[in-house]
Amino acid sequence: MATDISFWLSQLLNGLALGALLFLVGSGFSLIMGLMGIVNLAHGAFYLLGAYLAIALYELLDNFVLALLAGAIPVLALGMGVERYMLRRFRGQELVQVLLTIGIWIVLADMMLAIWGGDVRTLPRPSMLAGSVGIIDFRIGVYRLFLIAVGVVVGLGLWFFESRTSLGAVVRAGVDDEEMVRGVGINIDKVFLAMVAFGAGLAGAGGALGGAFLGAFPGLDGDILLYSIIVVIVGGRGSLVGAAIAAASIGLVWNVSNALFPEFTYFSLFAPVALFLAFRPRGLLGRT
Amino acid sequence: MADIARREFIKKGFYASAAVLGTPLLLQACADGEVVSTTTLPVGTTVPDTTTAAPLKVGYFTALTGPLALGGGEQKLGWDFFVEERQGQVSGRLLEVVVEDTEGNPEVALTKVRKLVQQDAVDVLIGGLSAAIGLPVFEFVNENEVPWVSPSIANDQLTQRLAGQNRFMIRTGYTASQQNHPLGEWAYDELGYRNVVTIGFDFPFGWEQVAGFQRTFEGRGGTVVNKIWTELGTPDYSPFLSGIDRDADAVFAAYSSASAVSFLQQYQEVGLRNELPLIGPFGLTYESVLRGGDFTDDHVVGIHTASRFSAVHPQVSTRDWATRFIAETGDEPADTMADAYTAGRFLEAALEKTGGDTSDAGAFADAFIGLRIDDSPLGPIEIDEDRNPVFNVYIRRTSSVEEPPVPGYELPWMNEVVETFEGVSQYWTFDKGEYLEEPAYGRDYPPVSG
Repeated sequence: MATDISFWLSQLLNGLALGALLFLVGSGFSLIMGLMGIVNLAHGAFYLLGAYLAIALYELLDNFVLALLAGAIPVLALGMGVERYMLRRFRGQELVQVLLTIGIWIVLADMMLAIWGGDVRTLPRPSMLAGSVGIIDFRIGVYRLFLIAVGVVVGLGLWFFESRTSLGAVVRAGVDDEEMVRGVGINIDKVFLAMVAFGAGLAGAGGALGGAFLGAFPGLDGDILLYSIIVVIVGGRGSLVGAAIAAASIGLVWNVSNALFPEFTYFSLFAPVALFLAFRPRGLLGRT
Repeated sequence: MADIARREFIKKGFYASAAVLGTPLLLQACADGEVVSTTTLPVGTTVPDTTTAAPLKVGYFTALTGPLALGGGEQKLGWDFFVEERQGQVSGRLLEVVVEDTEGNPEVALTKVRKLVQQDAVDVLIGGLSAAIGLPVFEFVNENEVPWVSPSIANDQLTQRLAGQNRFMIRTGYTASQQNHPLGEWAYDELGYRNVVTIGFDFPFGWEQVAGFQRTFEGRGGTVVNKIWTELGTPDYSPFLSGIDRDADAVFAAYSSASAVSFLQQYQEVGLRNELPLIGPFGLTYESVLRGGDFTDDHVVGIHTASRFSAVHPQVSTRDWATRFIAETGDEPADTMADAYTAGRFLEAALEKTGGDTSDAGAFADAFIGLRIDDSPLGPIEIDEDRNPVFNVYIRRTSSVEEPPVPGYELPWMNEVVETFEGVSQYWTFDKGEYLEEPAYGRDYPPVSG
């Protein structure tokens, strides 16, 4: 029956679109956690900052691509500053670093509220990506398909970086055994700096892209952080492939379970997390 | 080795979750130590009649930060506009306003209210936003005998089944179900809907809004075939939308703020706008929602909503007020701003009635009963014996703006009034006694009959 196929296909595409966004935010979070052993609680705030900056620049220049860059680059620079001048001072003191990221989160959240207020803001989509297309007998937003494409491209890029470049090899080695990497003469500080900046930049870019999908409003930072944590728990810390699989599955589980059992929204989201923590705490592909 | 790493991982996961869950507590702890935002407003200078009466101390509390900051900011804007127009003086008494931020957190809210009453010794409280703080603050003001003018908190029961325990909360806003009662009958009679699917927030504000609609819609003979509930902060409505029965005549969507923006966006995206018309409570299309989305006509035009207010109502009192509001703030006013301004008008009217005397708090709280304002931003409004307002309910249709309906109105859409129900009380046309005998509105009452 056509409706059955289209039901599942629409759940699949919608789930992957959400998954693509989760992947963008979750992968950077996972890298930082895997490599440096810290939970960056400012990650959601980085996302929201990227969204607000993209919207602000769009209002000035009326250009979608520039707006996306405006979301990514300043946040990347901010991530660099945070690592270089704050986190680095407390190297090895993981609890202190985590507390520091909470502080950064709170300061950023209040600054964003002061600058942009409490109104919901949405990044306008370029006409190419606005509207929806019909598939069999349902319709899906073009922007969702675009998000899936971005997710796939970024995912392939990250996979290539991680498995085929020498910096990627250093990162993998750093996740496994940071001391050994230091021991063979690699400047791990530079690697840390690059990864925090990169993770923040990904969050900022995710915020810019998500600004046209979820909008931007106070409180979204906390939600995004929560999703990032779920991605890491399921995918395993430090694993990009794990993050990709986790993000896609969370998107799919979220869609299918909400379509079939709408009353169990949070149960269907957190039950897998609880199961993973109980039976496989290193996640799908996390290294031990 | 593996085991140590595993334990480390669990430990870090624990820190992370403790940190996430603990943040509100931490914020609260930080905020408790000091007065975050205490402002004393400038004294009006042009009023020659400087009375010797002591200033009226007002404690204003609302969510200025946190997830509800949007609504809280709008509410405060409406109140500030009132104070500014009165030049800081009401009925011969200077206003001394102490502002506190509830952060949208019920525990913080109660702490702040207690501080306003016990430390600042305010004469009257104004504000409060989310239903979650309704009951605790209600109990507090009645125990401590402090009048509370409440422009936004909508829990039905506070002025219905709990009205007997209440003397000090005066609701100048609305109950959640109040405006949806007329909409239910109107959707059946005028739009000809027979089968409706409802979708909305899965907490009391959503339940009561849906229930008000369902009660009267089914009373006419319609059927609510399915009730879908979603959590606050749902990022993606597409799975819920695919569960909507396409054979229904319409969808009643009880959303507001950021949720309304994403919902409307996605409802159009999946092509439902052309299949199933949308109706809903005021929050679905109120002005900051229209402003917040990346919308086209296709997203919003033709949605019918029920509200006590429309920024573009042609009646003189609304039009004048909206014109002044836009000139002063640059933003189109929405329901929340009008509510807070109206709360100020009621405070003023009660003071006039008692000759500016607030020394007997009980008598001052009672003075609100029966007060009527004919030229409020909402139109005529009156406080009933249960300390809840009776007002006109407007059925509004979202339409494209051709000519600015009010000077300075810049939004491309407006909530155009297509029908008026005059003098709507919280009991609608039901007999109060019989209404209160029925079970209270909730998640599963009235039940789904379809």
